[in-house]
Amino acid sequence: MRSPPRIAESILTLFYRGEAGKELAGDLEEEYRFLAAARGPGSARRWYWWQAVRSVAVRLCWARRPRAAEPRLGRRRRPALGILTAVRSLVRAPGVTLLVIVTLGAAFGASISVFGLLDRLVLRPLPIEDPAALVIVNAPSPPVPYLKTLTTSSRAADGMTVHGASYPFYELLRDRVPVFAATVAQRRTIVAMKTGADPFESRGVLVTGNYFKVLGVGAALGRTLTPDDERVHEVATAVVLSHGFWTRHFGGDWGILGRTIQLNQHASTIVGVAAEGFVGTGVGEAINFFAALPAADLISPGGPFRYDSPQTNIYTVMARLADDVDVSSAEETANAVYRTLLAEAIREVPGFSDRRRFYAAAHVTLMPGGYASSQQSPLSRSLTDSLWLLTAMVGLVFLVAAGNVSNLMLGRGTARAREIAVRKALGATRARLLGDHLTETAMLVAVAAGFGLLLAHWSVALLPTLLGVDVLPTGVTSAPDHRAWIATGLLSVVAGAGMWAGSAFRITRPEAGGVLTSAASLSGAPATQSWRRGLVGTQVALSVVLLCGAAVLVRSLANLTSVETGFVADGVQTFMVRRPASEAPGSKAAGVLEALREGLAGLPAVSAVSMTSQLPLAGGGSGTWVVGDDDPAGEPATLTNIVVVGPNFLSTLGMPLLAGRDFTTADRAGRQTVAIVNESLARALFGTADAVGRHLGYQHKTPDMEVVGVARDRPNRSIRSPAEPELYVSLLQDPGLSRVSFVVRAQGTLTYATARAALSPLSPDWTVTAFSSLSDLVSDSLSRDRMLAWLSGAFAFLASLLAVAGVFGLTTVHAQRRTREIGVRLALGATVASIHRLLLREIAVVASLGALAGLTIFVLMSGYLGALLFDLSPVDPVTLGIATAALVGVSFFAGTIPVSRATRGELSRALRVE
Amino acid sequence: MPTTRLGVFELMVLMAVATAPEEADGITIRQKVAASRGRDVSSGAVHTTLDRLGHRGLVSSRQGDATPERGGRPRRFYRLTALGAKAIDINYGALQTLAGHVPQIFPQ
Repeated sequence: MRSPPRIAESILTLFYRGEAGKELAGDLEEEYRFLAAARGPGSARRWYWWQAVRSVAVRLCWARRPRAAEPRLGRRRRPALGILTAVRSLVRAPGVTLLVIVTLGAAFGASISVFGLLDRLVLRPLPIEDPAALVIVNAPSPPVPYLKTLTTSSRAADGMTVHGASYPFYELLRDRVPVFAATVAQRRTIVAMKTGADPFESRGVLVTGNYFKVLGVGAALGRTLTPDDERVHEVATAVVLSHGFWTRHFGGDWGILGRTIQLNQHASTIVGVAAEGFVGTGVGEAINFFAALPAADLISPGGPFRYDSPQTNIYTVMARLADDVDVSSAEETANAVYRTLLAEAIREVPGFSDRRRFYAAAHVTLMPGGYASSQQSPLSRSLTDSLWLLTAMVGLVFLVAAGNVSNLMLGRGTARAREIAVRKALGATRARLLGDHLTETAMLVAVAAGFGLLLAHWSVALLPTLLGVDVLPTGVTSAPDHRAWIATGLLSVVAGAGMWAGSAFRITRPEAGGVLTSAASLSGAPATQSWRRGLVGTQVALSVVLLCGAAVLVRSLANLTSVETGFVADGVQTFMVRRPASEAPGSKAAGVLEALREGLAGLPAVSAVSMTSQLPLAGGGSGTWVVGDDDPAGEPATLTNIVVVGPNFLSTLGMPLLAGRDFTTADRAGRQTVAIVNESLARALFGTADAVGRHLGYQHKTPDMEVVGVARDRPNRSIRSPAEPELYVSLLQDPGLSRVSFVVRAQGTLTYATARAALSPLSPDWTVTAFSSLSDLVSDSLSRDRMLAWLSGAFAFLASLLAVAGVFGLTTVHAQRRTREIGVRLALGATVASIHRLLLREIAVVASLGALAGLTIFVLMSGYLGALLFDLSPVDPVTLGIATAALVGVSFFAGTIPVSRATRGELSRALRVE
Repeated sequence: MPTTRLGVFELMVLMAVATAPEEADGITIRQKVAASRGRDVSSGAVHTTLDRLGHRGLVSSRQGDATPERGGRPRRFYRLTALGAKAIDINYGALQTLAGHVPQIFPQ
């Protein structure tokens, strides 16, 4: 280190320009070199920095005195001096300054954190080329001749129906829609990946070969997939790893290229690693690999279809719009093409008339595909609404905090009225006073924003708790990044301008000069007082909105947690096993599962074991049409959720039977096929809950399954949903499942090693994953509601605290201002109680008007909340009443403190107050 | 003559220039001022003061050569002017009077 610190030098030359600057820098550099040689570079650097800082301070503090030769009057102050003035005036009132920074900083912190989440899950463009031009093509695939079930679709959390597309439909879209510059198809898959000894579950995306090129995503290592990879190679399938998986699992090994790994026991070659940060077009999913589509046939677990089968509508089709085509006109073109396709299908498909009504309403929707909010990731879908709600809430908190800051500054402004009056008398213009106030506000906001960023950084650690997860989904965090910094900057500017405008003109208004002569308006003119009342009233109103929102969310959570789940989750552990693709479904697989069940049941700590295709409250499930023995024609059928379970399933989970028995090991292949129905299904099929001994079957099949038990109704898909018709069939008689969840009632924790040790001797290629306790899963299913309740509660609390502080401040000033009046009244014989009434009337009016306004706003906005609540109206009168009354009560109480302080004082002191 | 009124720091800087053998550069002056003050002083303060004294005609200066150890920047040498010497003389009287009072405060 021969030369002095460049940054310090640049700062120095910023303040010392021209020849003088050169001499100064030269002197310092010379001495620096000497010191560096004598005492070492570290010490010299420190010395240099110290010199630079002090020299700059000298420059700032010693205003150059006007030379006698050239007196300059009314010259401009250097801006640095304005900053210095601002710092001095802020430091002079450390209490207020600190309060403002903490208040506003907390609001900033909350806003930045929520923005961080909203941005990552909703707003942010994906790390791809030109995300605005990428759309998801959403339409039911046209029918094909030999297919009865024409389309699969699912309903998203926002009520939008998302259609899967078939591969032929993708090809039609690709070839025939002219406004699509390029089209890709993709689908997610879960495979058993084997890179070492034990196979593990791994998520990937199967894509068309043009995927990476169309999205404009490059490779961090090796190459990406190309259309060549679509050709099925006998040797091995090409696989591209995600950057995250490469670093996590392979430690970022550069020698990974060409290595062979097993995907569902199919050899695959790693040809590259995708660019950092790219995990497909969804958000929050740990995507480990990408493979070109025909590979689906090789690595898909037991899929009885070809990847390009017209019967499987499982793909997401995305298109890149041609240049200068906007979405609505592209949608028009796509719909025109779609109608042609349907017309062709009508000509070619016999029996299309069955579905005519469905397809009459069918059309193509183009949804934005290049953003985090794109309708592809379950996480975005489930959290988007909640995040917007939270954003609105922090927005309100921020407004309340900003109102408080304005109020504090008004208060301080009136306290400084004398100083301002003196400055005016000495010739300061109003513009300069406004400018000084702007500098002060800007500095306050900047420091508060910095504090907020720090808070946001620290609060990242709380995020998993708030979201109710052990580990955050990939890429999901609230840590402020450059986008959060920019947003913070914008917010600061807007907030600063607002707070400045909200207080500056009041403080510096022309009549403030009167303060010099009269003590009467010591605490501000009536106009300022009513302005402050308005601010405080608004704060109360906004806090009431927040409190009401939080109250209904908390009550909704309470409703959810008090729902009877219908099973005993405590003490039950669960994990999932997956059959390798190489093993055929059938009795051998059922044998492995049953042997594993018996093996586990033999362990000393285990009291009961069973297995299921679908854990309770885990959502999903298949809808199948079921008929009873009354309706041999198969009509009308009941849409039923089918759950395939092992022996003793109901007893293992403590689910009560209304009649009949649980499945046993005797209910296996070759015996009478048996079924357990829930009450709803029993009533739907047989008109009575007494269904034991009756028969049922799937639509268009003979109803030959005998009902052996009737289970009590319970919410099956989620705690929110009412009981739906449900049918349990015996796993030993229906062994087609590729993955099965085990439920184990045991003392202590079941480990992977235990399960693996029990499974490996039976069949080493099965994977074991998803260990959890059932009560955790139940609790996780409420994590979104819990997060909303907690966060909205915290925000409402913060806002209320600020509003109450506002009321307190208002009354304090008010009481001070009227101290003399109070003294006179007391001297003339007024009672303390009457003075109380006089002063409290103001708080009462402000608080109740504010609360009324807040309630009105809340009721008007409550429609947005309805969908998030469970078993509760958003305008529940009791809840809203309690929330409002609580805030008004506390504000009132806060208001009484300064009032009683004012009336308790010595009479003589009150009269002498100046 | 208002231009000869000197602050204590200005006087220290002026004395540092005056006590140099012929002429003094910024570093020498800074070190001398630091020595007479008993604690370190910032180069910025010294240069600002020298600048001010120069404008008042109490010191004169000339530019020296640029050297590599100064990062290629020129050195400036300062020398006392007649006016500067007079200013010291005037202030010396005031200092002497002031100093005369010290024994009253700290009697032996």
